[in-house]
Amino acid sequence: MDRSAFHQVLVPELARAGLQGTYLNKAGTVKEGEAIFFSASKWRQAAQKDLEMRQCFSPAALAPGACLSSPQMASLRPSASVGVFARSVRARDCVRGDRKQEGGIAACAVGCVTS
Amino acid sequence: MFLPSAGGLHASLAPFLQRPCNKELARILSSKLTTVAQLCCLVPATEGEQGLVVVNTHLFFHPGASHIRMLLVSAILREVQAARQEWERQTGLRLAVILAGDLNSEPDTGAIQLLGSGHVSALHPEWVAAAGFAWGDGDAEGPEVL
Repeated sequence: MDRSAFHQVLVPELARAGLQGTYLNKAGTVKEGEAIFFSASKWRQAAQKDLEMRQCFSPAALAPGACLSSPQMASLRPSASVGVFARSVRARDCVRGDRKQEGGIAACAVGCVTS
Repeated sequence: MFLPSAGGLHASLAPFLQRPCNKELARILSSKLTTVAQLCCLVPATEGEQGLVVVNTHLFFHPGASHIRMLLVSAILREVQAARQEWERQTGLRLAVILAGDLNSEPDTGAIQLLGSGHVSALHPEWVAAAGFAWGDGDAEGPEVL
């Protein structure tokens, strides 16, 4: 799943089930990413942190007492979101599952998967 | 947009990754991987004392790199715990963690063992099996694809 699939397919399809989502592309130039969806009537997204894992292993991150400035926590602002998580599924299955179960899924996390 | 990690969170890995024999592993982890993880703090829309930290990721796919998936899981768990503590302080709520994703890991792998028990032995066979792994090894498509 890439950014365009998220915006053009998943967001409108899952919005019909009351789900709101957030997308994160992989690091670099590859057009592939992952998304989290949640029930907007039950939850509000209070904060978010996007991790590029290679930064966790950088020399700066590994140095003793390293202190990469972390204003990220201060800059986190509530945004309009909400959710209960039920399962991790392929994007296609997620859309299919929500249609089938008529809102039985409070929310889902969509792992990025190549299909 | 990517946010920097909290300082010093992963410093415990330094002695391991700075060994000369782990030079290629350290290079892959710090400069080649495209793996990302999403951490999302959800609080009840109306009222309640329990919130969630929802985590989603897609771990490096290569079948010869199970050791990298173990290290990714360990880093993700440290980040999640740090974020959870900060967000619990900010929201005043208890936050449960839900970790989902495509982990590219069978149930008996070190990555799953680490998630289940919080520990992986230094003698775990995957450390030895993956010891010679180098970027671009053994896959026609090459790691650059994923």
